[in-house]
Amino acid sequence: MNYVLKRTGRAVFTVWAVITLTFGLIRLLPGGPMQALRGYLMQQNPSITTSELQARIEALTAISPDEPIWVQYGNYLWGLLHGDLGQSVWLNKPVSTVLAERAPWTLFIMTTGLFLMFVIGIGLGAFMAYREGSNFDVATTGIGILLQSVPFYVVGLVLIAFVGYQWELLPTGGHYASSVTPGLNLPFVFSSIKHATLPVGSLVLTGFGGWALNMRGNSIRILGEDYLRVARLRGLSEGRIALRYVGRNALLPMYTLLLISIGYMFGGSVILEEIFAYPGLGRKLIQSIGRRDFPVMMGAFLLITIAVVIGVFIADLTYGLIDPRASGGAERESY
Amino acid sequence: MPDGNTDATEMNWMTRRRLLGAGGAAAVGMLAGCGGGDTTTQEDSGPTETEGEGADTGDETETTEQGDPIDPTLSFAQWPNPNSSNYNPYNTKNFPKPRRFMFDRFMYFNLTSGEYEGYAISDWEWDGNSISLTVRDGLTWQTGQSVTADDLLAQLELDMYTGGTLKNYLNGDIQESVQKIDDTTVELQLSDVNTSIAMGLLQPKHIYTPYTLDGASYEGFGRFVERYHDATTEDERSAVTNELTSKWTITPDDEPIGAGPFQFEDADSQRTLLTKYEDHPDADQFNFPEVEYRYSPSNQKRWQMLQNGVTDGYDTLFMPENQLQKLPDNVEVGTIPRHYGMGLIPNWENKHLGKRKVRQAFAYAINRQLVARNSGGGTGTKVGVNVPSGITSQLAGDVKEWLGDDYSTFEKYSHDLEKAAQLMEEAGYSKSDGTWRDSDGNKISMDLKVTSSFSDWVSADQTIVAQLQNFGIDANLLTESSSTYWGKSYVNSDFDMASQSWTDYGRRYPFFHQSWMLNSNDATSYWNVPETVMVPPYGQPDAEPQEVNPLPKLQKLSSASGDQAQQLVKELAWTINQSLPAIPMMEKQAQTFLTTDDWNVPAKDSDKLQTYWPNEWLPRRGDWTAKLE
Amino acid sequence: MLNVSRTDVDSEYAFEVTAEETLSRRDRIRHRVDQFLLAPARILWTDWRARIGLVIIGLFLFLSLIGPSLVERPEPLGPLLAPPWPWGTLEYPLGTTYLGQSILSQLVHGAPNMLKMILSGALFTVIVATVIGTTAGYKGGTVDGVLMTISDIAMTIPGLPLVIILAASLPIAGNPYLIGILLSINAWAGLARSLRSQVLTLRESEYVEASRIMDISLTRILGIDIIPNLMPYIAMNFVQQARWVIFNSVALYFLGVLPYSSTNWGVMMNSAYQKAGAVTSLEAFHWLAVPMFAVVLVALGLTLLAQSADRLFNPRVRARHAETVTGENGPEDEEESEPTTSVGAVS
Repeated sequence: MNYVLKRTGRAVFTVWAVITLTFGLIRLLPGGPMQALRGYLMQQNPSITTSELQARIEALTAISPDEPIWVQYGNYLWGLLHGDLGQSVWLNKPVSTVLAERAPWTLFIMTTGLFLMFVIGIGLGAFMAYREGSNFDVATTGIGILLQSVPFYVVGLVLIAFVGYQWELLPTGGHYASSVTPGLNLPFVFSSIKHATLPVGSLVLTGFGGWALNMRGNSIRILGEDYLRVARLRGLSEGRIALRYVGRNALLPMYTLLLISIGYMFGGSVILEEIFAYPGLGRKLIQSIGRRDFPVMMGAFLLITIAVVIGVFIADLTYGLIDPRASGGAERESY
Repeated sequence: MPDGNTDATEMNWMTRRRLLGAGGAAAVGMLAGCGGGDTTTQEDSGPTETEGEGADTGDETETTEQGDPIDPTLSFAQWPNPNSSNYNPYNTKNFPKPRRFMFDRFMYFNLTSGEYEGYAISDWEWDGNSISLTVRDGLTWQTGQSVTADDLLAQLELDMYTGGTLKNYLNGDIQESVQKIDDTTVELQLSDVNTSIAMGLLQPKHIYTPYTLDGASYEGFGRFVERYHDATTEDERSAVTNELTSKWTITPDDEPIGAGPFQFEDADSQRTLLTKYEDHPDADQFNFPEVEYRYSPSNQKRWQMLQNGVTDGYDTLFMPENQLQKLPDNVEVGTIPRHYGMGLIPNWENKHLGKRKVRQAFAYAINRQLVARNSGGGTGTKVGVNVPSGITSQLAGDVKEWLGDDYSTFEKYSHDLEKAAQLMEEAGYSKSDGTWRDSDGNKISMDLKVTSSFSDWVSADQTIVAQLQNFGIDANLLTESSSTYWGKSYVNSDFDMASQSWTDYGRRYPFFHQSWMLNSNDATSYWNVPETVMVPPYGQPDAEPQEVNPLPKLQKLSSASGDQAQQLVKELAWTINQSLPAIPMMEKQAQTFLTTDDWNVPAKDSDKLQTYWPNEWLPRRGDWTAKLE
Repeated sequence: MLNVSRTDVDSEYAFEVTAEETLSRRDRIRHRVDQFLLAPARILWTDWRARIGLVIIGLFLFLSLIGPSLVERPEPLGPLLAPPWPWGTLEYPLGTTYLGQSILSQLVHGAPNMLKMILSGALFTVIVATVIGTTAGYKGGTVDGVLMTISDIAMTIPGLPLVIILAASLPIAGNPYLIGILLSINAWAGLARSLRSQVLTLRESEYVEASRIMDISLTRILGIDIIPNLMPYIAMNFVQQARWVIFNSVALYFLGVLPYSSTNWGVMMNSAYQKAGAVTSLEAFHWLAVPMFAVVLVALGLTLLAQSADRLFNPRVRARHAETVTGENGPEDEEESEPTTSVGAVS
């Protein structure tokens, strides 16, 4: 219990440290929302002249001198404690609303992707282990290594180019078609899945190889364990051995990895969502950095950090419970 | 302000400009003459232009035909997410394109004939230095309430309070200079200003701002006008500006109220839908019930939407040759001069670029035609500047017209490395190991900064840097994000060379661009152009340079007309040509897109396209109608 | 490579290292070079994966170090969007860009920047991780506590978003070395943690104990007794981090969120995508495909090296039946294990 308390304390401390760090970093960013606006307006062929545009921006930048940074920081923390993430500068909405619109979509594609690559990876890995040394094993190992070397966005771009544009099989961006109404209805669900196929597909295609190789390694190791020989001698069926012994023991180390990955996937959403114009958290984060929409930036960053912290936290806490061989938390704290 | 695109009409407008030169009164007469609203035909415009003719041709007959439109919805694209769009013009964040159909512009401007025609302002009249503007009869807010002089006053005043340039030409403070005459007329008292400049500033405005608005869930803009009037200190005015510029006129509960031919219906994450407002005076021109703007935040997406027939047109969008080839046959692409183009901005406080000869050497070392070719992605829509002079519309022959017989004495800076080398040597540099070095033997190293979000500028700059490197300058391109570039590097003069337009965008009268290059806030504060520049006497490029202060000439030009104006333009052009406050690189021809499958539109080379925002004007003038089943 | 159980490897090295004490300094250095550089290289070469990997990386090094002096700078003078050979001419074997630059030339002149980013990022990671990990592990106590808390926080900050914000706020002006370091700004944390655990094991070993008794200074103990034993593991992480840097630098350049001053492969992809819409246009697709292929090839070389290094130097895999997870290391260390590479590519 002491370990749990300590671990919780550390998680909270981490979140606080990240808030403070990002708060400071963001204030270092050159240019504020108005300067971002200047570039944005110039890009859109405004109907006013360049000099007029510049004059207006000047007029806007001159107003509202900022409060000292520590006051802003205090206010921000105080707001956070009350669940108030502030108001977006660019959108007429509270940050919490903006994030609540986006987070589910990120969660959707990222967890689907992770789940699929995990399932495919362990299935394939276990099978490879059983066929160790066979042509199948060698070939899949080769493919696994190859796929691991392909960044997911490269696969994403190729998928967009061919599946999306050349063959026009699947949509290349967005989260659902404009013709459907969001809610629990089939067309909406179907449309969402269709739109998620390419982003999820590019994650899974490049990601499952790593999981498979890892699973293969674990399984092979366990297949050589003494107690399996004992089990075989005891006449237990192969199926039972595969499931109860090999599967379980090989899976254990991968469980933590899975939990930790969930958090990291959120960070990676930045690239994936940009490429597929997928309106999730990562895309919002990049957009708000470009627009210098500080409150949204902070909020998105915070949310992603919390996802990672929670992932690691759960992994830490449950590890000992799931793997009885692992020594308890207390011992891990021995340093 | 006259404008044009072809040589024939160019001559037409030039002759007229000379006529105007006879005296300011003539200008007043002419401008008042074309203020007759949308039914006026212009006496001196050619027989092929203006909507008088458009109304007689097929379009009109087709609208009276029976049947439903094949495509009831005219589709365009918009940048911001429709869900989070905003229609307060002073809060420029997410102020999306549907505004172009929800609100009307003050006037129509025909680029070919150079004529102004009334629109939301149906009549105007000059009286000495004041102009009275009259709101179009029958124009109403979409709540049914008439558009009045109060609304117009709010529009004019708020524009100026938030930084609009027109206030520089007022005769007195804003409140005094803008006066309501009667229910539909507002008088603007200006200082001695050339009417071309005043009209150039007035024409593109819209009527966006109801003074008060009954039946809408948000208040009108009148209270801001009153608060500005009441404000006595700069801080108070800032506070009003702050509130005005952060106000939103769209929330999930309230809809923006326009005064144009289409009204806001609804918006979701994919598109904004507008439906026809039957009480608009021009409602008859539209034989289709809906206009929609689809959300498309990237150029790639906009290209693809046109290629797939998702959108029916686009007003100005850059599309490179390899993408143009993918357009279906029913898409027409017209080009419109934008009076806009990138220039290479030297930082005048840079120890090398502060020298006139070095800037000139750079101008010689860079092949501007190649820069334009590469920036235009093979489309030829970027035109390399022949003679740096601050005068735009090179294709239309404006530069030659303005400079007249003196054209040949102006420096062309045609690509010439020897000439460039000679200038460098004269400036005290020498070349060794293939690089230019100063007298201390140090390499001339400089960064050219650009924002990565303007990809055509990046292309141009890559070409510039490559050529400077070939010439022996240790030049580097530094690409920064939009906010970093505009927010830090540019405004803090934190650059050796920067990328910025050398023109003032969307205006034809040279004054705008010359003033921009010599005396704007950008020029003096960011490019560090000094108050006086060293320039040889007019027409004698080899004579000893003298100190010249361009400001008095600019001030004179702002009110001059006729021969006097032309002489001033020439002299300022000479100053620019010889001192190169910015090195003009190219001029942009905007690509404009129309589709013919479901729509009756003019041919792509028609003069009807020659207006700044053809997609907004053609339907209003009955030149863009739906084909019927 | 899940956490390496150090037991067998320790005893092995322990023996060698103690024996070394009697050798002269020069011999010792030679011995070390042989032991930690040549011997591994010889072992590596026996593995086909390593051979392919080394050939690829060798090619890449050649491209970045020698290439730019052989191939002319990309000049925007050629025909626009010329197709690659055999559809086009041999003058532009990989075709040209929309500015008329030779794509081959861009690829070659972009390579040094890639190498700089990769090297600086990977070096930064292993150096910081080694210093922090070994110090924490060896010193223990408060130092250890503080250092590990810092690495825990660093590990938890979402890497890529942090990089984007830092890149925008710091005046790095597109310097590839700094970008490489920036991209690895929190990557050292995971490695530092697992190195610390391994040091904890090593610390108890007899020869380190001996050094301590002989009053040899901390840096010497770390440098002579401890770090060399961790070298294979560190080298492997170097390769992993190199791949991480190449993946993510290209990604962020492709998205256009990093500043740059001269071309690199990510910038090439960005230009192809932004300017010519290369994903929708077959005429321009080669402009996008060439840098993509180069990235994949270099990453493949690195993956193969890491794989075979793991296979050859990781005693667990060698012995194959060894226990994997030692409780002491704690689950965080799992990050260094295999699938992280796939996860790492994302995060």
